[in-house]
Amino acid sequence: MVPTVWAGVLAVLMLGPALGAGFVLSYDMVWVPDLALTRDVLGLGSGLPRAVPSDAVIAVLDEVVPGLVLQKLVLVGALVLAGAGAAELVRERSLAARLVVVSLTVWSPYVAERLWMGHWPMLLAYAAVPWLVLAGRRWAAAGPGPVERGPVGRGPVWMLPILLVGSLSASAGIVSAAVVLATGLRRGRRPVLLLAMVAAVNAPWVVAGLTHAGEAASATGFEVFALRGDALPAPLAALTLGGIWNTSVIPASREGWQAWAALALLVGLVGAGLRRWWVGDSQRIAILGLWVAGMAIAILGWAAPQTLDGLAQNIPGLALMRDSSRLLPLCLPLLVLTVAAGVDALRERLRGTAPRWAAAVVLALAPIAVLPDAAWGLAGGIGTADYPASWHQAGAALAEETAPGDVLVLPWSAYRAPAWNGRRPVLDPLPRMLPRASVINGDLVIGGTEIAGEDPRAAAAAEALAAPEPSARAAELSRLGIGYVITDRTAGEAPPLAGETVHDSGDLLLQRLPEEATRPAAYTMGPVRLTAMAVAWVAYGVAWLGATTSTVLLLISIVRRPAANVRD
Amino acid sequence: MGNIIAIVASILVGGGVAAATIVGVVTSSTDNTVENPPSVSESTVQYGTND
Repeated sequence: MVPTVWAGVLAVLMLGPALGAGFVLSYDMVWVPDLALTRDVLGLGSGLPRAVPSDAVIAVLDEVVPGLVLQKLVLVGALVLAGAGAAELVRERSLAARLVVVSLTVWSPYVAERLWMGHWPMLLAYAAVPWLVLAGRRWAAAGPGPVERGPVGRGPVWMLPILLVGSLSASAGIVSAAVVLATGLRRGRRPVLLLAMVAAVNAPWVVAGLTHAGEAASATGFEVFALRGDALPAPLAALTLGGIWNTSVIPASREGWQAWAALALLVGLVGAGLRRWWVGDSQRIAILGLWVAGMAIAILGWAAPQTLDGLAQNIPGLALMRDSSRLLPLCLPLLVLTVAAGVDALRERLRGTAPRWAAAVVLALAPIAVLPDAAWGLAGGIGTADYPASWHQAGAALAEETAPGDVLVLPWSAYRAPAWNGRRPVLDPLPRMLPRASVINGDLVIGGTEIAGEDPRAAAAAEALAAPEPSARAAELSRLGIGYVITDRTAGEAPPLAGETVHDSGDLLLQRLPEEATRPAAYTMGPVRLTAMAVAWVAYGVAWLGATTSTVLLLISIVRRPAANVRD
Repeated sequence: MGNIIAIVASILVGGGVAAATIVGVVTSSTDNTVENPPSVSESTVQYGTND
């Protein structure tokens, strides 16, 4: 209980103003009041779907819980779950050791950088990792004899819900699957059932990736997205779970001596506990293997980006590794287990209660002391914002429209830095505010380098926008199945188009394009690919059903436990 | 005697780390060093930097 409370304190301290009224919109973190379940959200659009299944899950859940509340729950929940899971993973250790691993897990460069970058599904995967180690261990240990059983077989009741929560994106799914399979997949321990669970929770993004294999293969940029050093050389930064590619989201303290202090602290504690952990853990090879895999992927992206760029053209799915430090949560279990053992080893060398507790306090506070600017919304890096009323009005105006076609979003760029969001960069939220599938520019500009997007329809739209006359642009777009264009006038220059104004609030202009005799219907996927996606979503739905059942059973058991205690 | 020295040393070190933590957290929270794009009229907002 105490470690969970400590994790909660750290979560509130880190998020700070981000917990206030309004949405947290930062880089890839785009939440809206009510996300529509459009074709794009389900991975059925023309572009390579990057937010599958996370957007679909949110689109469904925000029908029950408002998007604003849901986002706060996800952010706080991820940090508390991560800390509580780390403490639970080393349950047999002293309270001091558990408090230290809570600090180390919650107050880590990975959490700070990915939070700023807006990779909330990765934060959930990071939080799920310790729990999945526990779940995998119980699954592997479930022989004859009593064991807690979930509705899907021998494993903790919470196993499937945690697996789902930790698999809301492709990278997150890879991390969660690797952890639960490395620790739980054993001969004679229902391996097929475990594999089926993993396959079901990852089916949507796997199938979506396969149905867009051509676009996925064109994704490049390993060098730009590679592991990057801060004050530490890149491989050492990875050791401390830092090293994100985007230097704009690295806390300033990581550029100074504190990064070296963090490394020294971590290496010292791991070194002190390594032997003790090694002799006491029956799954040491699996845990070590996960750490090696996480480090190897991170360092490979840094050491040989051009080779990987070339290989990604021929190896499906390899492009998922281009943000090579994203999979560093694989290293978390080893760090938690060895650090906890190290803390206990150090405390045993101290004589007397006071020095032991003083050491515990120092070690529990040290991760915060060496990364102080992760506090209070990452020292201003993230905050909250409210969408302008005109955005809601534009969405409502489009909802009333009956003409066919998708929506093109202008200006023709992917990211915005709106004044109402404190000029913080964010992936344009406008498409998610609209009740129709959209076509957007997927090109990314990083440090002056342009990484081309993968959507062939967006490339065709870019050519159409280059036509010399507004009427010619409109006609070309119409031939691509685009029925409407929405322009955010506050976000920069956009080419004028000939079309009928549906809504004009000054900042936003929604136009209906003239109907062309040759206009095709809005983009539709081929029947084979559509069927494959349908099967994937059905499998995912079954997994959600199982997880919901598990959660209900878990809640019942929690309610019944105190009642049983009272009777006893 | 040794025990007393250990306690005093623990308090000093612990107090030092606690003070450094609080000062660091408060300073970094009140001194906003985040640089945001100067103009939203730039139609191309960068996804990030890696200089």
